[in-house]
Parts: sequence; C-alpha cells; structure tokens
Amino acid sequence: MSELRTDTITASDGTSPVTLTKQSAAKAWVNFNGTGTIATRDSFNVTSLDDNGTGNYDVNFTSAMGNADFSSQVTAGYSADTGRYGENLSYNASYANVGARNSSGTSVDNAGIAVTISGDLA
Amino acid sequence: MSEILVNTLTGKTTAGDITVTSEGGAATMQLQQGLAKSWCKWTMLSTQTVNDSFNIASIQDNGTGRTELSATNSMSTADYAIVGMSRDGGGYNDDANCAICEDFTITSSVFEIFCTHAAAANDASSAFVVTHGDLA
Repeated sequence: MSELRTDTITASDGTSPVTLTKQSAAKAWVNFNGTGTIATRDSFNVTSLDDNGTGNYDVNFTSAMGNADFSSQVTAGYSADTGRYGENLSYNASYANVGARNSSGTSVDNAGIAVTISGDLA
Repeated sequence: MSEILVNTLTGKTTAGDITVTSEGGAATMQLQQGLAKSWCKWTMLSTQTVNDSFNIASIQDNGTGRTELSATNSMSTADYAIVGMSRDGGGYNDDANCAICEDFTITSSVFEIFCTHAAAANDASSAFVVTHGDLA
C-alpha cells in the first residue's frame, strides 16, 4: 500500500486545481430547518441563509461558484404533508434560490430541507 | 502534466483535512467535505432491491413508497444533507417525487426516504439518493 500525507493538493503549476480522475466533489451542501427562524443544522461552503418568504430561501455560498450554471439538488422533508417537494427557483454564482411546496403545489415552510451544489468554483 | 499514483491520501497535519484549490483559482476548500458520503440506486417494486450503492449496508421496506437506508460507515451526526429523486416508470410527464421522511428519526447511520406519485405514496421503479456531511 502507498500513502501520501499532505495538507494541500495543487496542480504542478502551483496554483491550478488538481484533477481527480473521473471524480468531482460537491461544492456546497446544507441541511436546514426552514420553519420559524430558519436555521442551519450543518453545512459546507454555506455562509448564511435568507428567508425570502413562505417556502422560499437563498442559500449563500462562502466561496462563490464560477458562474450560475451549476447543478443544484433540493429535497424537502415530508411529514403529514406540511411539505413534500424541494425546488430550484433561480441561480446566481453567489447563491442558490430554493423552495419547498406541499402536494397541492402551494409554497410552504419546511422543517427538513437539504441542498447540494455541484459545479466549478470561481 | 504530472501524475501521482497513490492508493491513500491522508492529511499531514489533520488526517481528515486535505485542501484543494478551486477550479477558478479564487478559493481553496477542504476536499473531504465535498465528497459524497453515500449514494444508492434501488427499486421499490416488489422486493426492494439495491441496483448499486456506495457506503450503504442495507435497505428495508417500511411500507408503500418508504425505504429505510442504513449506512456502512456512520456519519458524525444526524445533521447531514440527504437529497433524492425518484422515477415511477409511467409517462414522461408523471409527477414523481422523493422526500426525506421527517416522521422517521434520522440517526447518524439510518434515514428513510418517502416517494410519491401524483401526490400519493408510491413504490418508485427507481429511487436515487446521495448524502453529504461529515463521516464519524
């Protein structure tokens, strides 16, 4: 077995990102409670959340994406139909605007929303 | 181009902390936190069966549209992010959805997914889930 111990991996030019063969890491993720005063349970590369109204949230990135063309996955929690659908609303390099709806299609605050972001960082 | 062939990467200062440079070069971030910690594709039809997975030890049928997934290696807390999607096998414009079941107590190693079709509980022909967070 071979093992490389290092704190930082950078491409051979000293500045560019290293290539992970056939792999791509997520650039941000968050698990948050979107009811009442919204609160992050755990996150990576997420500096804050904005409550834009019922079932409408901005997930703000610590380090911005390179553009607004990243991939965002949103899943909401289900409990007695207080919510069911996670949705992507709009994109910006600095944040993802996401939401939650119930089975009737009405926007609702949801207690268990998870978001993951994949793409290229700035 | 230079290439390192190695089987294991470990942080030198902290074993679980290796920093990588962003694609645009404007930031650095921890490699480990970006890696998916588990994923699974399975069918809920008939006897629920895993098609392929990573770090998933087993699944359990908890009723129509419900699957309990157990991780091989546990997360450090129950606060990890779970995202999923489903396919019901019907028409191209069918309404199929996958949600995190809040009536089920999520732990560091077990969670439940609830799939629906046309707003009713539904055994999905294919369900997909990915988790992100910190491993124990």
